[in-house]
Amino acid sequence: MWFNNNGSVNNMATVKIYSTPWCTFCRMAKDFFKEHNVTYTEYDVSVDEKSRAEMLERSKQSGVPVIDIDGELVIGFDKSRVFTLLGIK
Amino acid sequence: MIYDLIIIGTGVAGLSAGLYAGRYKMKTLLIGSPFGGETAKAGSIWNYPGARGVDGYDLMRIMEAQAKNVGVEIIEGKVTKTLAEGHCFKITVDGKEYVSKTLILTNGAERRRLGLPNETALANKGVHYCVTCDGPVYVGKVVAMVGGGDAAVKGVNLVSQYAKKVYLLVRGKELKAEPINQSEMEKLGDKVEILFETAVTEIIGTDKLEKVVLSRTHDGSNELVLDGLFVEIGVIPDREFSDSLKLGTDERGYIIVDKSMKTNVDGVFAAGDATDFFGSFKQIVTAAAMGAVAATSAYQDAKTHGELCQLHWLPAK
Repeated sequence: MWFNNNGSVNNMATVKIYSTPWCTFCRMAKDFFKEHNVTYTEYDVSVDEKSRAEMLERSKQSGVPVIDIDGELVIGFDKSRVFTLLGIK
Repeated sequence: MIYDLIIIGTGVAGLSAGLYAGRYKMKTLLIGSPFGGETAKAGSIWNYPGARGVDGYDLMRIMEAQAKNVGVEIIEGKVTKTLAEGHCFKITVDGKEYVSKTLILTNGAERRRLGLPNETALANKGVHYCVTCDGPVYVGKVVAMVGGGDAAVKGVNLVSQYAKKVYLLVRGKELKAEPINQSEMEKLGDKVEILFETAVTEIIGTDKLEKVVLSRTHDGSNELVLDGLFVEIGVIPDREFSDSLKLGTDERGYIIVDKSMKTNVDGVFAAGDATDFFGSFKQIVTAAAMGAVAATSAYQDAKTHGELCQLHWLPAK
């Protein structure tokens, strides 16, 4: 990732979010990514069986969201950790 | 700078108060985290007039935009200190102090927990407090909902779209949900099984929930094997601010307010789930109404007593 001239993050990280349709913190996380121009891939675990199994196996828990930033898992929308992993100041 | 009004809480009551305060041209700061309160987690909402079937999170974003549109500043953060001094209110958020002539508390309430051993250890490992968030993870699984109120029944209706079997564990002899939501649940047929006069007495599991122990037998056993357990047994008011500001509270900790949402401390108002103004009838429409009334009262108060804060306030050196 790198910062462009206007100081906003220009994120080259691979970001995935495992989410469900009405999850507040999932939606807050997605709003946050949009606000900071972070490209992400969303996996709706209520309909995507493979992603659901992957999330449960990797995170060892069943709460959403689970966010994967370059392979690092963040359980819940832990904003300070997301900031750190994305290099957002 | 001194604000006319600081509102703590970004749920319905706080954002409604913000909208009204902004329209009164009050210099208003709204502080809160996480965004949206309980409404943002409510899923589809069918009982808020004028917004048929609106999603709770979307409704809160609309309310936020309305408040911002009339000049309300909104910051996300945790209030770490509140101080009342000569009709001035000093609120510290992440180390920064904000000063205001009036204060509205809409900090809501926290989800009540069962209070059982193992409950915290298995949180998000089978035990959940947000069915709209985590219910959809339980596709094809067996789950139970604890509670007999409207939130529990609505939760059953939602999680039944995903789970193969849902038990509703009700401590009392009857449900206290909106009849329309009960009717929806009845349509689910055998998928939902209601166990009245049944409490969870033990939660069993190591790395994840395995089963619960019930206060009475069901199908010859007092153990119920489950993949997920959802807890919707009401809320308990957050006493943090009422204690620090020495606000009058009832025996359960709800802030006591009069019909203008005024507390026993001059310049301090409260609205929403932090109060028990409408008893157990805690609705979006009542929270919005209380927020509007509180802002109107704060406006009158700031006009009448606002200069007292300016006289007493000394900026930090």
